[in-house]
Amino acid sequence: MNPGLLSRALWWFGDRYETVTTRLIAARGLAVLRIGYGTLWVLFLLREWGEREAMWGPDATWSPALDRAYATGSGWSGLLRAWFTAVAGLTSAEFDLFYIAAIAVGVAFVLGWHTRIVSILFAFVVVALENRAPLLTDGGDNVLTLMSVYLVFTACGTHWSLDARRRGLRANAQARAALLAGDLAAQSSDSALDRAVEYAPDWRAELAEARRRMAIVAHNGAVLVIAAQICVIYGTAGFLKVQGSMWQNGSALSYVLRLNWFHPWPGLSAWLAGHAIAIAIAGYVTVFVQAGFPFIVFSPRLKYPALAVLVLMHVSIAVLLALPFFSAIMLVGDAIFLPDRFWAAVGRRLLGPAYAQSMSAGETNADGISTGRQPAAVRPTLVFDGDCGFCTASVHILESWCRPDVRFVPWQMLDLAAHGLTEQQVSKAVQWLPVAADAPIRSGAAAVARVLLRSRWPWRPIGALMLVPPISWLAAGAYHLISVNRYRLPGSTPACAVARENAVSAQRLGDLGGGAHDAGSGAGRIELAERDHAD
Amino acid sequence: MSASTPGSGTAPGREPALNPRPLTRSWSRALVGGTTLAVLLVVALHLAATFLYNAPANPVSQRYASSVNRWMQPLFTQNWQLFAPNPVSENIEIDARASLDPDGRLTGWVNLSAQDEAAELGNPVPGHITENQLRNAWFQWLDTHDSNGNPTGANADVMQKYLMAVALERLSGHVGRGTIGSVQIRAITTLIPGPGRTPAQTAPQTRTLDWWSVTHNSSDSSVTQVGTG
Repeated sequence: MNPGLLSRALWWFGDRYETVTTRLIAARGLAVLRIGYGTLWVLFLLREWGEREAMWGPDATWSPALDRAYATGSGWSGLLRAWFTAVAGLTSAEFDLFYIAAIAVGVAFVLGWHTRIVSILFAFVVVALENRAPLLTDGGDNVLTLMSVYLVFTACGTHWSLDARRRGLRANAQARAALLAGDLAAQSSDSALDRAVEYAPDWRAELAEARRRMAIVAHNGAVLVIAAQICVIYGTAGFLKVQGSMWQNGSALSYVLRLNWFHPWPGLSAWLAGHAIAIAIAGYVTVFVQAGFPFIVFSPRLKYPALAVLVLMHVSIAVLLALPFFSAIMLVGDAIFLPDRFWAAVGRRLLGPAYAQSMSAGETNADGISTGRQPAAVRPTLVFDGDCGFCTASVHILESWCRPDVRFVPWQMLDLAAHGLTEQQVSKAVQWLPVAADAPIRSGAAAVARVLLRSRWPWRPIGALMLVPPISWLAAGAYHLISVNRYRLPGSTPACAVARENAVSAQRLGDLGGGAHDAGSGAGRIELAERDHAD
Repeated sequence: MSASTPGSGTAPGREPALNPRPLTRSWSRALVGGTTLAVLLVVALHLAATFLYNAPANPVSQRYASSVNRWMQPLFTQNWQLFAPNPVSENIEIDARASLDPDGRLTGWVNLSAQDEAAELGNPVPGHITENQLRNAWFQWLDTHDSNGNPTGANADVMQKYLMAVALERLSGHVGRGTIGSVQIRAITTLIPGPGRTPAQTAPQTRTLDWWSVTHNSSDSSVTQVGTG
């Protein structure tokens, strides 16, 4: 064999090995699965709250005696049998407690609170409750059960979770502490957490790294299993349908639409069943996409249309056959096939820049080892009246409550003409200076709405609402009323405000970044340090 | 497995791993390498078992059937045959009637399916009892009994007791003050009209099961159902 080929093969192998042991694959997609399945579980339990006794209680139709007889007849034994019949042994009060605990576990799972342990509890309650009445379940319950078990092995709490938030805050605090200590050297190294690990005994750091890599390998294996399981579901359903005469002659869906068992909207179903051609096309597309799914997922060009067809199919099933939980559970599973950069974009869109900024220190390489603060992006500016005590106080409240990813600058510190503003404008209302030079300047309520839009939850949706016409008019009116009367409102002590503002604003102006404005004297040193770090 | 770490070995266009701390000891490399091998092995086994479990019967799946079933059941049990190979193309109406103790008075036939259908009508989120209980109870009974109603599977007795419990519970509102001594179930199957189906074929077919004695046929559970249901 050609030695060059061999070395290249070895290199390839080593590279792959490095990848699967150091990189979490589909970390955000797994977070979507965690949030999705957890939410559906909670909604399902709330939906069945009134019928929980009849379904799974000690007096249920599928009685504890039947459950145990079924377990015996199926030949289960040992721990698995104990797990599967765990709920059958509960009294009525114990069962209610278990039910509430199952809801609480679902909520904790959605929030990503101590995710690894909670994921084990989640799998435990899902499997135990679903198997308390195996004859009440459908395909959706089947998928949920499987996924709850697979998720135990994944690191599904690295994004959009309380765990990630905790890590982000901790890393932020450490970075800030290092900064205050004037430890500039720390800024050039990777992160404060890294150094903390370095101070520990050598073998312990080594073990921590080995553990981290083992967790990553297990995660990546579980991701592969989840993806393959979904392919098996669609593939099996598709290949079995290919053999069916009714799917072949295109009549299958017209029968499905006339089944009394799945018939919530008879008028709609009858109307659809009348369109034989459309029914035949829909049936064929369904079979093609399902049978082809295990292959289609490897083709980026075919993947997205196929996923779109599946979304359409599941929405139809949810509505026409009244199987919303089944459909939603299947749809959540499809999320794993969307790339992580897609989910990152969705996350940015939904959560906003304030979240991204607070998490920037928590951007981790898989396991909680922080990569350090990312350089802050250029931020938009809100120009306010630093002479007005009320305005200054409002800005302080806005900053501490909403924590927007926005720079607040009193107009007195700003070269107004350079930013295309006049003194009349800025003393009348707050002005919003967007990052892009060609984007329009907004003022008043529209500016406040944009600040909220860049704030943390729940201010972000409020900001979005304030931009929608009927509400935006009300907001504009309210803003006008307040600004006209602002000198009568509490906190309006101009002289005091000016004195304080000089110190505070100097500090803030430092990260203007552009260098157009002199940051002033007192706070300059800290500013320089911060800018160094950002660079 | 060698834990070779190809220097800055990332393919072009791929983001480098964030902050990788290289492993420096042989024991830690062995730990990670061993875990990787174990994960690979388990994943390969599980995927093979999942495939064979779902694939149609073939020489491979038949040869390893018992191992595959031991691996897959009960935790990874799965069945994706909903609407395949052909969708259900018939409407099944399950009726039940009761003989009341002590005089043997009969109730009329009560349409149990109609209760579910009424609950589902215009309901975007029907519950599992409405959607799955009667249907699964009936099909599982069919699965575990032959055409004469004789048990065929290990769980035949369980399924019969369950179907009876479902029927008794739904009958309880229709028996007035009497006590149910025995119960009879029938299924009326109507093929949905479609291409190649003659009117004779789409006429309703009735299958009436034997009378099941509530006290005799069930030990403890179903009797209490009558009281509580």
